Amino acid sequence: MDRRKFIINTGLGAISLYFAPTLISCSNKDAINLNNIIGQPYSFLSTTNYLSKEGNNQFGYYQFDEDNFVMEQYKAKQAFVFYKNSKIIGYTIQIEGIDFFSKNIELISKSFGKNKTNYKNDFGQELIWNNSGKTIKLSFNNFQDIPKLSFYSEFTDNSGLII
Amino acid sequence: MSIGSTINNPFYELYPNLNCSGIVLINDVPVFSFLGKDTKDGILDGSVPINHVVLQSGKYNVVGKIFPRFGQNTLTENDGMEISFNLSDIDNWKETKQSFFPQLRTPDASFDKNNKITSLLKGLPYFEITTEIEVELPFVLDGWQNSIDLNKIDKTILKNKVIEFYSQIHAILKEHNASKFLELSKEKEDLQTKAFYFNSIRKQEIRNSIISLFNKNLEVLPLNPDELKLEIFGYGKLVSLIRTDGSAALQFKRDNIEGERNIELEVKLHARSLEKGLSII
Repeated sequence: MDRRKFIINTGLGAISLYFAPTLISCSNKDAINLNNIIGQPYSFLSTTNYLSKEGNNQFGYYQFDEDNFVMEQYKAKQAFVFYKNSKIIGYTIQIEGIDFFSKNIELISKSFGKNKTNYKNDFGQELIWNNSGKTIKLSFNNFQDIPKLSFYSEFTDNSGLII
Repeated sequence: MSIGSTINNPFYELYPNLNCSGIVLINDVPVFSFLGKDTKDGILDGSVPINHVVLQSGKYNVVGKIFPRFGQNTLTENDGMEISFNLSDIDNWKETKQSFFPQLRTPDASFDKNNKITSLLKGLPYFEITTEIEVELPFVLDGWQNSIDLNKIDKTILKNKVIEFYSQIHAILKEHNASKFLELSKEKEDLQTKAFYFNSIRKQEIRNSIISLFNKNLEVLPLNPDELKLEIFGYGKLVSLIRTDGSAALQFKRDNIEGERNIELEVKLHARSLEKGLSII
């Protein structure tokens, strides 16, 4: 996916550009940037301010709290960055509330095309987009007392991730 | 044996009674275990439903594996295991409950020439009892009958694939993605729904237990791959990761000071084909 094209197409470009300097000045300068993280060697993650890590040298993930990662488009509570065979292959972020889900379907579709319903069950729903070697998943929880949360995942098509 | 007129929806159970450490397996699938520090003293017994493990009508191998209690190297004259086999109608459990196969048990203790209690098990590091039962069910569950033989996959490759799967489940639990967890458990839920004739009320009770789990905001125990071992069972059709102490790899931590045990998630995986990869069953 062409990142610049995505920002313009989603209509968030102007907002992102406007707020970027403020965000940068307020945010942790050591925070990782998820926007261009896929494909990078994973070794640098061990030097970041991560919350926890799981896995071995072949596969695993690093967990970050909201102060230690940034995304141009979204504000999230937590991020989980996955690696496999020394490369970062994808990530998933957790967002409070379920508005994020409905608000972003159209925006993502403008860049990634048509989505498919990956699942719909009693607890929530997940949509999936595949385009240009990448997979995007958008899901939410909305059932009784389960915490109302949205989730956005992005990973390479050949990663085999189920997140 | 044929399903009697009073048994419309057969419900098969084992009733193991252990006076030592041990595991009970049906067709190489563990259904009951009493291992680790808990076995230092006391006994354990309880009812173990097995419809979801036998999957369909047929003959099944039952094995009881008996080990010394925690802290002991060999079995004693007091150690032993009994397994009873019960059948009932799920809707009339009390009224219809009956034994469908003779009890399987370790040899009885006896008196030696000095008039002291002894047993064939005394001094052994391990003992095994086995039999074959036959069950008749009105359904065929979509389980692991036709799944691929995981023994044919290189162990290192398989372990890495299983760690990949478990690590992602671990992340899904940490981020509280309940809908995805439910979806990934769908095959297992469908199987259990059919195996135990779940109605909508019972199904909702199961859902409530998942909701309650995701609400508690409990810490998920770290997965340290060096402290996990691969367990292939079900004659090569199933695989799990377990901790070196025998407990489940995926656990929610509870307040051990209050004496509460961790909540262990039973996650067993199979693969319908190499292309489809691993899934929870």
